[in-house]
Amino acid sequence: MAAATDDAGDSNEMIRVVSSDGEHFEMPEAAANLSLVLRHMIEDDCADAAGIPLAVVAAKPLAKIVDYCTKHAAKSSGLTIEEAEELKRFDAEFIEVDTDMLYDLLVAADFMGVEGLSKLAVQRTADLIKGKTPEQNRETFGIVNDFTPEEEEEICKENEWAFQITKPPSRLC
Amino acid sequence: MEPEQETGTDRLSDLPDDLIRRIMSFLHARQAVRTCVLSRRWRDLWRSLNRINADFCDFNGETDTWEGDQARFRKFVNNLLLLRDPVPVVDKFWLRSYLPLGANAEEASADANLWIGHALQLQASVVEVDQDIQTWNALELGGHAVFASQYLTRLVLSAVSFAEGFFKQLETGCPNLEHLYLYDSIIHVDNISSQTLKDLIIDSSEFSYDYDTSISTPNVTSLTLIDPAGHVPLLMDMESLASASVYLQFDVANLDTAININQWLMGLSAVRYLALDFPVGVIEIEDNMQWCPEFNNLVNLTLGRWCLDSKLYALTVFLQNSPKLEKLTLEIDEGDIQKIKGELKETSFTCDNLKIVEVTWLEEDLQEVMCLEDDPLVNRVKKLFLDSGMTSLQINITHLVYSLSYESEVFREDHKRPRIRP
Repeated sequence: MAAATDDAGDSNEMIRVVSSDGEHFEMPEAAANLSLVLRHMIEDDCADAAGIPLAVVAAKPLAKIVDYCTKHAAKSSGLTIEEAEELKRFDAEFIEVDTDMLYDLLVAADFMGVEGLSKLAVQRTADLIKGKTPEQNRETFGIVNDFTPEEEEEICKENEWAFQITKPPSRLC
Repeated sequence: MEPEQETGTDRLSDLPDDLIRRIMSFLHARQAVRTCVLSRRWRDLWRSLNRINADFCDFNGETDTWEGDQARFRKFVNNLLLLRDPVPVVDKFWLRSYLPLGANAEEASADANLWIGHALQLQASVVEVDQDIQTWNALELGGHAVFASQYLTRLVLSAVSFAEGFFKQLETGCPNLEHLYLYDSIIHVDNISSQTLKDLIIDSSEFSYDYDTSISTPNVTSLTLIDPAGHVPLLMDMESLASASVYLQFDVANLDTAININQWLMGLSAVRYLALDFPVGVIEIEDNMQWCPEFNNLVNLTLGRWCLDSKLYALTVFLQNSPKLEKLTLEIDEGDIQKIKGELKETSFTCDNLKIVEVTWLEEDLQEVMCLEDDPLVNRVKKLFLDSGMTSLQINITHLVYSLSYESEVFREDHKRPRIRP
């Protein structure tokens, strides 16, 4: 309460956040505002020197999220083509993470309401699934096939309209 | 330090349903359905996605003929729409088809209309129809009251033609449609009118060569019109128009006289932001004929080479008719110069608010940039402003690679083509 000033538009203000495992992070207010949850906390004067506690976000993903928000807040509106491209490159590199971190980001971005990051993580996950056979996807994500062989056959048969394939697509597309 | 990926812990399946559905919404429908065999957790998730991305290309080449592939695609989409849960509603339906030479376009069109109608019954707010870039034929949309939905807000169509009465149906049947984007389409209609549209893009589409199409969209604030073939559509009621990007590349049959040009530009006269490339054939304007209406709201103007004849005639006329102008951009390329020519009795103009002139030189190759500070054209532009007493005006000259920059500032914002393949 005490630390939050009245001039809410002042983006030089640093906002502190605390991860579930007790680590402290700082980012500019403009960056914090990219998170719906943080923005509401700031608006409600809950951003104080002790930091906003984020009970379900661990330090590792939080560090990434602070990084993401800081970068995106610095370049928000009125991007030139070059800046937009650079931001795109940043995003592409940013989301090159192992699946563990990807899950953490999916959950944390969703929880914190960081829309751009949430979309980025969702898209990345979908990209990992794309173009793979069910067996390959089970392997990538560690999904355990809990069907009996009979059940699996039945499901394939039930949905044969989505499965039947004779040879790999080739002509165009 | 990075922990090895632990096999056996399936955190993806542990995500909440909503998050998994969002991930699946980015997949093409066929792949989304196929997740049903992963495990029990995944068995029925595909049934309740709120996006459907149906792509012919996922079936392409599976049989020996297009007809065979198309039959499988049809069976797939029909089953998908039939077997998915009726709730939740669909928020976006995306369809991509492919019609090779000789394909039965009528049948494919009937399917597409059926599916779109179904998606609209499922309350889809966004419908996009795309075609593979190698497609040969347009899908014909409309007919039988397909387009009737109070939920539809955005319609994006590529490579389609329109059944009789399509736009009328859209106007009366879709009272909340705000965004209409048409690409590579055949628009042989008399009239497009809508009270609800706010954002209209018509790109690389063909209008009739025999008659004028009129567009009456009094609530459109943003208009993008790029390379229409045939008669350029006449803009009738455009009183809300705030930004317009108009790039005409071909000779325009129905803009051949000062009166026609004046009438046409009148449709744009409410804009605040205007990017206009307008290479009409050489037209001699006689006796100070008025071809340029007053742009009383215009603050940001981008013009192409067409307005830069040796006397900067058309540019001067534009400046004389844009009293509130704050920023002028001239995009100059090496293309053919066609222009409006004329004599002005009075060459001065008053643009008290004009602060910046950007001269953007479009290069196909940045290696070939010459020193253009002394270019005669640039000097003429500088002189034009000096002669009108605007000594403190800031004139910037930049070079940009053609492919990146031809799309001007306003234009770039609007022009996000949803084409899938580059």
